[in-house]
Amino acid sequence: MASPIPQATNYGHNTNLSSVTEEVGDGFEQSEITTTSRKKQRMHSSIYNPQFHQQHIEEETDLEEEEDEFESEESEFSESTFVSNSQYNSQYPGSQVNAWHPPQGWKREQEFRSETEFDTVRSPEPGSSIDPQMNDRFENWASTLKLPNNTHAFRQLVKKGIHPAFKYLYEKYPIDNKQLYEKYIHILSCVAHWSEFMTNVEYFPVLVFPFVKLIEHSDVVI
Amino acid sequence: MISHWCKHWFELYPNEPAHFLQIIDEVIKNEDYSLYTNMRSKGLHAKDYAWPNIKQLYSEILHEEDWCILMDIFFAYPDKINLIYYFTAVLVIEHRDVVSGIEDPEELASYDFSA
Repeated sequence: MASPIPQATNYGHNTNLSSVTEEVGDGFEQSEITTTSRKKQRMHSSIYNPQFHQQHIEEETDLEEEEDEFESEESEFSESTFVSNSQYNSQYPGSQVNAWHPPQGWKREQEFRSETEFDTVRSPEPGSSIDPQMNDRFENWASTLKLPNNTHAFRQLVKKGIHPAFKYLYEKYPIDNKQLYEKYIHILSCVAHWSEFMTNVEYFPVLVFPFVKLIEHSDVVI
Repeated sequence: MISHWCKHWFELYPNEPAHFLQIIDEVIKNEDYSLYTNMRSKGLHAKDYAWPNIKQLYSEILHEEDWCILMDIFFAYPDKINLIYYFTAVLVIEHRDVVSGIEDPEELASYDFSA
């Protein structure tokens, strides 16, 4: 079972789901307590909303088989499918459920954006020298190459910080633009954490640099 | 990008991927034999003049717009990774007059083909 390490996603609310734990690399794993409470939550959601039960009966079956159900949560986060805490506690005296509810207008992608600035989808900066038409080109590249846009994995790599191999990158590649340099070093570190071998390749930073410099709107694409 | 187009580059690391660079020599040999013999007589091999540009994905010798167009072509044909090597061969053949006068591999590697 996974050891408790920092939260996978801080949804910004006090919840019992805050005990969701993760393992770097293999994805999410949840504690037994969390999984049980979530199952309870879903079960009683279905009591109050029969339509929910019919629609999601297959997903509930899957949940019993495998615990890695993080992705399927997306489709279930609608306010109508959740029982309020007071409703649940009045129905089951003695229980102290503090279930998490998505806030108004909650979007998962927006939460990711607030996590760190390195995985954001940004609009072109006012003083940007990049032609807006170029951004369309980079988006076309991403769609043509069918990039997975794996934001979660990217965030995990960013959290690991700067790789020791690129700590003194400025000595070899002095870049005046501080913002560009930070972005550059983080992208390099991500790849270095992903594959240690790349730290040995002396031409690797040069290979990556044009992509880092030109693709401004999204770091995940790089 | 790296895992698809550049994975072969690291097979012989730290040496250059000689078997892929051989493609460039072969293309030049088939398309322009006189240029090929000329370069061979000067000791110009693909690993000397082509590899420095390929490993930087031509970002040093092409302008920004040209480089993006080149990447457009590479990304449009992801199943034809040899296009990266063909491109060098085409550049050399296209600029054969200049290339014929160059004797130093480093000078050829730093030649601005977009000019």
